[in-house]
Amino acid sequence: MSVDHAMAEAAPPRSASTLALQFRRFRANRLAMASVALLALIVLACFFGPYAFPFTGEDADFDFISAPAEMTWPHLFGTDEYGRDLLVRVLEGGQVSLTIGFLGAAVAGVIGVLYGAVAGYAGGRADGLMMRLVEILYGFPYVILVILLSLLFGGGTLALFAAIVFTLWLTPAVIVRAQAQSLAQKEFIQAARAGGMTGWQIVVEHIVPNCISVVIVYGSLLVPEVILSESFLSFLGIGIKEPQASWGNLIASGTSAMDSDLRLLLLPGTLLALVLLCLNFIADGLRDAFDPNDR
Amino acid sequence: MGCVTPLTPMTAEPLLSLQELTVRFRLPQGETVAVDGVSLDLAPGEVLGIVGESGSGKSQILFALMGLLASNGRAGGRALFQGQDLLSLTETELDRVRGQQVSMIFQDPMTSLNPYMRVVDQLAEGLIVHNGLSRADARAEGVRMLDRVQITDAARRAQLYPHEFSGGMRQRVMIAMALLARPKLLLADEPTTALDVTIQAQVLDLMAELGREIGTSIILVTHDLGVVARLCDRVAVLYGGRVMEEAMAETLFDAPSHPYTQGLLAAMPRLEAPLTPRLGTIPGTPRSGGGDLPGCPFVPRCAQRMDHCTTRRPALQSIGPDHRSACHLTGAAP
Repeated sequence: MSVDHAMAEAAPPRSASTLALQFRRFRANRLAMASVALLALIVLACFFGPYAFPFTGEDADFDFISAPAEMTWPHLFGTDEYGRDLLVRVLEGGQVSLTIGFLGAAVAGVIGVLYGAVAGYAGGRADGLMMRLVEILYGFPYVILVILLSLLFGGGTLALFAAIVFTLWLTPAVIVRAQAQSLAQKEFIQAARAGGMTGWQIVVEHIVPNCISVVIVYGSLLVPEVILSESFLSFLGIGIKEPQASWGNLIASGTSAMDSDLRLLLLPGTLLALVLLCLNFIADGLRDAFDPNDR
Repeated sequence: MGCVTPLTPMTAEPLLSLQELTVRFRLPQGETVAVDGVSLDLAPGEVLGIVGESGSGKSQILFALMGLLASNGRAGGRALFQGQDLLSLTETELDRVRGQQVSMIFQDPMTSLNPYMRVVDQLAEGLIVHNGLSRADARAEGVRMLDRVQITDAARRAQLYPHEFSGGMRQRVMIAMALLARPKLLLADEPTTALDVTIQAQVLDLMAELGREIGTSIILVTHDLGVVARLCDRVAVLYGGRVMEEAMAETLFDAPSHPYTQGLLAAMPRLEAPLTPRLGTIPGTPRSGGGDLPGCPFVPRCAQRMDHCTTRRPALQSIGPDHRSACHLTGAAP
């Protein structure tokens, strides 16, 4: 049979990878799918919603100072004590929180996965050294680290981002390292070595793809963790700083005005809670779909 | 029982020459010897069977050659492959030999393919890395090889993932992968142990046939004497990490000399043999690991042991044309 002929016959296969099967299982989970939809809605609202208004979240409207939430145009949810529109500020704050959440989780995830895969595959002394380093970093007090990094980067989003990534890549590294260790004993890794693959090729092409389901599950838990620590740090005032909004500092200013005006706290608080719940349901669904031990 | 006649005269320069190969493992309770001074030659195009019970060190010989020993293992002696000592190569130098000149087939086809990679990509990987083929060319080559290992509808099946293949098909994929680079030497570590009996013969014949076509020498490690009888030109019987007897397959089956070989053959069911109520057994349990022994490792189980068997190690001596045995019974008088 000629090769051209053979290749022409290769119609798009209905072949399903393990990954595809797992996603099929995930799609059958209603709660998780509803969470995906709601999360998508919130993300879209945060990134495109502000364009519907003729002002930005940093513009003060002196005709409406501390306007109540009366659902009247243009300030649907009212304004804060500087006359800034609350809804727009919350949506813009969402942009910052969500971006840091997903980007931070992605960067921390990639660093952690590669580090863990290398350590687990290499084994022996290299593994020991790499994991001791992780343990030392684990022992570092988080808040002090953030303050130090803020000093180093001059504060702001970059410092916050660096601090979050710096602390959160550790757990994926440990998880993937355990996975890689058991994979390194598998025959297909031996077969790859017998096939003359170098260590790096084996890590990238064989170890990492086989960790992917663990990584997806853990990554989905990592995103809310990152969002939460961003909010937490901004709430304490060492994260995103006024006038730039983030859910954390909006909630912080909401708590200070809590006695007189509860909605300043409620609106960003509710959105944050919703996003975290959605992400946790999604993580749950992913774990059910990916973890073979649960069935 | 179709014995294959040797294709090359034994006088040819050996492709692989093991000289006093030893494999030792460091264990918490001390050092254990898995392979104890094995010397074997392999001619180009020859199929050599290494037979032995579990723990006789037969697989460790292959792992040592491939540089795949566990981290507490150490290989000694020399393993000259085309004059180059495989044991002294660095990892980087080994990567130029492995997968191109020497390849290996593993015991369990269920775990020797990456579950997250399409079969065609696993086949292509080696060609891309070693031969610098483009992805498309390497894939086409992989599909052609799948076709040759008799996987029907190879072009479509190549796009599948390993879990969509049966055990026999996976082992054929492994054979395709191992032979894709046209290696000079193929190491097969009990390639059919995990397979259905009806599939075993198919897979073995396929391996031998393709090996012959490509001109690959094969070392086949197995505990199955039937497999050896079917495929091998020459056989080495291993016990306790040492070669007990080595002969052409026909010689070994017709006139086994070593008491251990005789015991093994007596334990093998044969169609042409007269019906006996029970198959023979070898008393005792196989020796596995342990430290250095002054005498013969088979002594505790040997029916014909003599006093000096425990104290003096029998050398592997020639006892006929292409026939060597390590036993005081056949060797020179003590």
